[in-house]
This record gives sequence, structure tokens and C-alpha cells, in this order.
Amino acid sequence: MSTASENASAAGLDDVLVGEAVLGVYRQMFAALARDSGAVVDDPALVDVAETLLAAFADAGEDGLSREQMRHVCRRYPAEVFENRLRVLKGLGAIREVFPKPNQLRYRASFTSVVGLMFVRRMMLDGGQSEMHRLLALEQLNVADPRMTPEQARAGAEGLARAFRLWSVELLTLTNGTIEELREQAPKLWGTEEILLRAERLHGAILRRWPLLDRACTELRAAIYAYGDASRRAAARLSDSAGTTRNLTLLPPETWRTFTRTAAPEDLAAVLEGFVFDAAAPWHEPSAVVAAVEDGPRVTPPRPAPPRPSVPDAGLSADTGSDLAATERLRETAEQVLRGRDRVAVADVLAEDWATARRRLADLASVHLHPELPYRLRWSDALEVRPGGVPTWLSPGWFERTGA
Amino acid sequence: MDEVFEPLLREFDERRRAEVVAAYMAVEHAAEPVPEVRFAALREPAPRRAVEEMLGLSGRTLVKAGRDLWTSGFRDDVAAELARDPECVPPVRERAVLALVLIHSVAIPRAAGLLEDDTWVSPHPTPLDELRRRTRLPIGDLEAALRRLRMAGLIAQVKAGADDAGGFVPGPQFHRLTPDARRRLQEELILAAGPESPLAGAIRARRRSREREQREQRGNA
Amino acid sequence: MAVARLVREDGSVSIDPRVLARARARVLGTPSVSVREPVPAGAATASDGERVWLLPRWPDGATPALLEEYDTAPMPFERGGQARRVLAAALRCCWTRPDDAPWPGSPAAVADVLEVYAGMTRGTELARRWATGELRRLSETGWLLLDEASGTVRPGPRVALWADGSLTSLRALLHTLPQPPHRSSPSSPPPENPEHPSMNDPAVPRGRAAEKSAPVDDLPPEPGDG
Repeated sequence: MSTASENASAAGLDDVLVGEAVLGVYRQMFAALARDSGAVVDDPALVDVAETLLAAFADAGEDGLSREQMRHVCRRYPAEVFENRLRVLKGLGAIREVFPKPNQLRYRASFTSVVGLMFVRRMMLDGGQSEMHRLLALEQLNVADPRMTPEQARAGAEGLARAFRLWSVELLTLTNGTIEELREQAPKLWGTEEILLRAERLHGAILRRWPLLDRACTELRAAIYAYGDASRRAAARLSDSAGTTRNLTLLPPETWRTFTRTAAPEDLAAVLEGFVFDAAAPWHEPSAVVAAVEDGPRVTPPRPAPPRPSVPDAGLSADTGSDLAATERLRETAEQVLRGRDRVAVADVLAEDWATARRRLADLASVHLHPELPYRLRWSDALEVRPGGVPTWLSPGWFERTGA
Repeated sequence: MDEVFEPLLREFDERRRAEVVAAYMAVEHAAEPVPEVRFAALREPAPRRAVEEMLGLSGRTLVKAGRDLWTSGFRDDVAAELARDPECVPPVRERAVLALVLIHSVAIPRAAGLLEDDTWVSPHPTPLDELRRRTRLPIGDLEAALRRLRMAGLIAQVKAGADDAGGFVPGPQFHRLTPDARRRLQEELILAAGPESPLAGAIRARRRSREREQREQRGNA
Repeated sequence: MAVARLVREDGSVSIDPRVLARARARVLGTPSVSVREPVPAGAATASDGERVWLLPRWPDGATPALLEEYDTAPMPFERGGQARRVLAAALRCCWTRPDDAPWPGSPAAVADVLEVYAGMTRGTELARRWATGELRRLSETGWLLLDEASGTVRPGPRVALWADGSLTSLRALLHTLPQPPHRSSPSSPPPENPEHPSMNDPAVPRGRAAEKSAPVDDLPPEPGDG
């Protein structure tokens, strides 16, 4: 993959290379990753500082930034972290000091560092897959370019062959290693059908234009096949060791989200087509029926049904399902009132103007009556008269959570 | 005395027999997998085998659901046979809702590294709103589907807490999937969501070769 | 018949049809067939003379209530208390001859059941609506048979699983519940079902001759007040 990165950056940075030493470019490219001028960062947050700074420079335009402005955009980082970063970035040439006027110190950022950082971010995201896509697309363009020489084409083919071979070696090593490591790494390394397709198309294009590159192309073809084979093996090993849900990690969250967004209900349902489940079969022991009646809210003493208004008895109305939205509203009301507590005195809850209190009391009564909501109102028999209070009389009562 | 179970229970003395019956009823009807420590018949091979055979009478089998935990579920061959009967497969809208819950509560948290245990049980609720948007079902139909799924223990409702709005998670019935059924569920989800992924390719290849083997075996028989 | 359909034509599946039938019943809840159709041998069934319901079979008279003794929770059933109270109200109306078994009982108007339920609990309109939902839920799980078209309800096949010995306290309780209002036409109770229901092992499909002969001879007494 190192080959891939060199090619990718070199191809995109030709103009920057002119007039600068190769080492200088390398330093700037990886400045964002440097801990000091001799080693790579060991804390990803340090890269964030660099990224924040570079973004601020992009916004600042040709005037660049003053030191105070740089400090301001990095204010969420500790001073010493900022100072350290600035020193390293300056040391590596990612940020340069300029003097637009005498006694005025400004800073400018290097374009190369930004490109390098973009590349690094992509590599971190998928371990080089998208870089390989770009590289293949780029090479395809080069092959069609009339200025391309056979030597350049050979170098390109050899570079790609080397990348694919190293790639498949990594995959094979993983496939023969522990399943945990494979599970973690393989998705970043294995080839999608598209990469293989592009690689083969490129190989065909090189061979058609320069038949004398036949040997280099044979090498490239073998490398592509080896790579395809290695990624199939990695996938097969993973699918064999499926476990229960572990392989779900092998599709990124975004793929799952896209599926839920784009799939028709029928496609979603098809996932469970081959599965059968137990029907709901709750058991009601006679003694449990008795207990439920005895523990339930009862009108005591038992008396015949009270007369009720002549509501039409048209069998069952359709309106019997629970109304989720209304239930949720009541639940919210209950939680607002309880605010994390297990019970509150009704009097405390109603200490508002009468209209509000009445509405709230009605809500609490509905919550109490709602069979799905685990709350209840309990009243004592006493009556408290509160001249001047709102309301002016009150039975001491509690609004509380129930266990069930 | 029941002549269906009698041949399997006859060999046990009264105490053992009661233990076997209790273990049988527990794995069949408890919501969660039951621990060996509480059900003696699940600890030892002979009575456990009796439980297994009793389950077999209705096409079921013991499912190990963790260390020293047991439940019951459909034998794979029986489940496959039942799944051919359209009456036995839940209706489209219930399956669509259930698939969404599996993806939101299990697949996505898993892919994001938020789930530790390798089960279909998850603490991450799928919000009602998400179900409403994605199934495009009229609210009445969605509520009916949710009600039936809840009643069957296929989903469970999580009440709104301090940090999230609540919603639905896979229910206790998912403990009842055999290892093979669990793996198949995972595969079906991957095939549906990432049909172009190398993993989907590997799944399809393995299924093809298994079918070929089965055909050959049947041809030889 | 469904069981036969499950066996492939080429005979490549060798699952015992009785095993499949029991498994299928677990998937469907309490499936039923006409009494004229064959019932898998060895199946536990409940019949009302017209249809036969397949029931689960449990060893040594055990029921899922056994789980309680082992501190083990059954499948969660939300609002179980309310469902059971509504079931009690329905039985108050449908189990009209308490000396007999509750199955198959006799149909009662849904309105009467709701009336009894309202009398048992806080009789708000809201509670009545929820009770209607419970009736449907009980019907979906085989504890009641709900005929939405005629607005009637009767006991479901699952009550046939209740052992007679476990019914004493329930009989006593139902007696204390409010009496269903006595209604004359148009929603008077339809004729009762056969007097000799079967709840046995290899189901004995009943002839239909005896069905319609049960006299409506012990309707509940008139309500005590006016």
C-alpha cells in the first residue's frame, strides 16, 4: 500500500514537486501526523489540532493568520498542546512565518500539508480502499493520454502489481491469523468486485495500447487474481465463523442505514421470510384470574352495574388499539411531574394557577387510569382546606410510580 | 398420566420425574433462558436428554443460550418445513417492522462497536418515529403490527429514559433461535443490506455448495 | 389438511406428521379445523361440536403456572391484570352453568361483558374502551372466541385446559361479580352450544345432531335492583 500512496500523492502533486526537494514534500505531507520532527503522533487529538489550524488558514485567505488568531481557533486545546503543535508544524514547513510589513508577523499554511492530511484521513477511514479506487481511475486516464510513454505505463503497471501483491499478502496473513483480528481488519483490506473489475479493465487497456508490455501485464494480472482470491478467502473464513451477530460488523453502519432508507417494506420483510416464531400464548391460571380481580380497582361494595347513558352498543368499535401518541404524551406529563422521583405530593404539583392545576390534575387522572402506564394517584380520605391557596381545598394525595 | 410423555418419564422416580417436568415447562414457557442451577434436570445428561426428547415430540429442541442457560426452540428441520406454510410466517408488515428493529437495535450498534454480547438482544431501542418513516405504514397498521409483535415477545418496548426517547428492541423470543437459525438471520440481513459485499458473495457460495452436496447425497441415497 | 401439505411430494422430509402438527400449533396459537376434518392422532383438542381446536399438551397435569414455584418469569404479558379482569367479566356472562366446565360455555353480548366489567371496576368510558381492546387480545390468544360481526363473545378453547380441580376459587369469585344485564331481543343470547363438549385426546368428532337441542333453561336471575 505504500506504493499506492506514493503514486497517489505524486500524481496529484506534480506542480508542487517542482522546485522543492522530495524530502520537503514528504515532511509537509505528514506534518499533521508528526509528534515532533522525528516521530509520528501517538494521540489522534494532535491531528485534530493540525486540521483545525489548516481549516482556519483556508478561511483566512492570503493574509494568513496572526499567532493570536491561531490560538483563538485552537482555544479548546490546552496552551501547551497548541504551542507544541505550532512548533512542529513550523519545523516541518507546514506553517510558515511571513512578514507582510515590517514588525508584522503572520503565518501561512502549505497546500501540500492539506492534501497530505486529506489523504491520511481517507487512509484512516478504509485502510486504502478508496485510495486504490482513485489510483485505478487515475491510471485509466493516464493510459488514454497520448503523452503517456511505455516506460511510464510499465512503471504504473509494476507499481499496481506490487500494491495488489502486498495487499493480498496482508489479507492472507490475516486470514490465517486469529478470527478476531481478521474480523477487525479484513473489511478494510478486501476487494470489492468493483476494484477487481477496474483493475482488470486497466490491465486490458495497457495491454491493448502497448502489446510489448506483455510481461509486466502478466505480472499485474497474476497480482490482481491473487488479490481477488485472498479477499474471497477472507470473506469465506469470516462467513464460516459467523457466530450469532458478529459478522454484522462487517457492513459499515452507513450501509445498514442506507438499506433501511431505501428498502421497500417487502424487501425488509423478505429478510425474515424463512423464520417461524411462537404465537403469543399467555397463560391465565384460574387462581391468577381470581387474584387479578381481587387486586384490581374495585367498586366496593360490589353492586350491580350503575346505569349509564345510552351509548350505542354497536359491538366493537375500531377504536380499541392504544393510541401511542396520546400514551406518550401522558407518559411525558408523568415524568415531568415526577422528575426522576418515585412519588410526589399532588399538592406540590398543583401549586400553580387554577386553570393549569386543573389541566394537570386531569392529566394525572388519565395517567392513573391508563393501563399501560406504571403510575398511580393515591388519595387519603382527609380534606385540607387552604384559604387563599390554589386550589382552596385538597385531599392529601400522592402521584407515584407503580412497580408493574 | 399422559400417554404421549409417559414412555419418556417412566424411567424416573417421583422426584426426578417432577424435576424433568419442571425443566420441560420452564424451557418451553419462561421468557428468558433458565439456569441449570435452578432446574436440576438440565444439569445431568440423562434427565436433560429426557427433556430434549419431550421437546422433540412437538418439533422442538433444547437451545443453549449462554453458560449454563437453556431455553427451547424449533428444530431447524421443523422450522424449515413450517416456513413453507405461508400461514406460519408472520405477515409482511410485521416482518418489515421486526427487520427494522433488528437492524436499528442490533446491526447498527454492532457495526458501530456498541454491542458486546453476541446475541440478538440489545439495549438500543429503535424509535417509533423511525419505524413510522421507514415502513411507510398507516399509523393504525403500524400500531397493530407493534401490538402483535409485543404480544408474541418478538419485540419489547423500552420506555423513554433520561438519555433517549425509548422505542422497541428485539424481544425474548430471539433467545429461542437455534445456533443455525441465528446464523441464518445474520446472513439474511447481510444479503439484504449488502448484496454486493464480499461477505454476501461468500454466503451465497457456501449455500450453493451446501445445496449441491445435499443434492448429491439425495442422489446417492 | 394443512399437515399433509407440509410433507413434500418427493417424500424427502421424514418429520412425523404428528410432530409437525404440534409444532404448527405452537406457531399459530390455537388453530382449529372443522370437526369433519381429521385431527392428527394423539393431539389434545377441544371441540364445540363444529370445530376442533388443537391445544398444547403438558406432562403430569402441569401448567405454565408451575414457573411461579421456581421464581421464573413467564413470557411478559403487558397489562395482564386488566386482561384477566376482562376475562373474568366475560366468564361471568358466558359460563352460565357454573357446575359445568367453562368450555364451551355460551355466547354473550359483548355489551353485557363490558357492562359487567364496568360494574366491577371504575366504569369510565375510557376503561370500557380498553376492555374492548382486551377482549380482542384475549380472542387472539385463544382465551375467548370473539365474533365481531354479531358482537358476541364466548369462552375460548384455552379455558378447556383448566383442570376442574383448579376452578373452585374462580367459581366462587364469578358468583360475586355484577350480574350481566338481562337483555331481551335483539341482542338476547343466541342458543347455547352443545351440552357435551369434548376435551379429550384423540378427538371424537361429534355428530351435529345433538347440537341445537340445549334448552336455555338457566339464564341468570334478574338483576336485584331497578
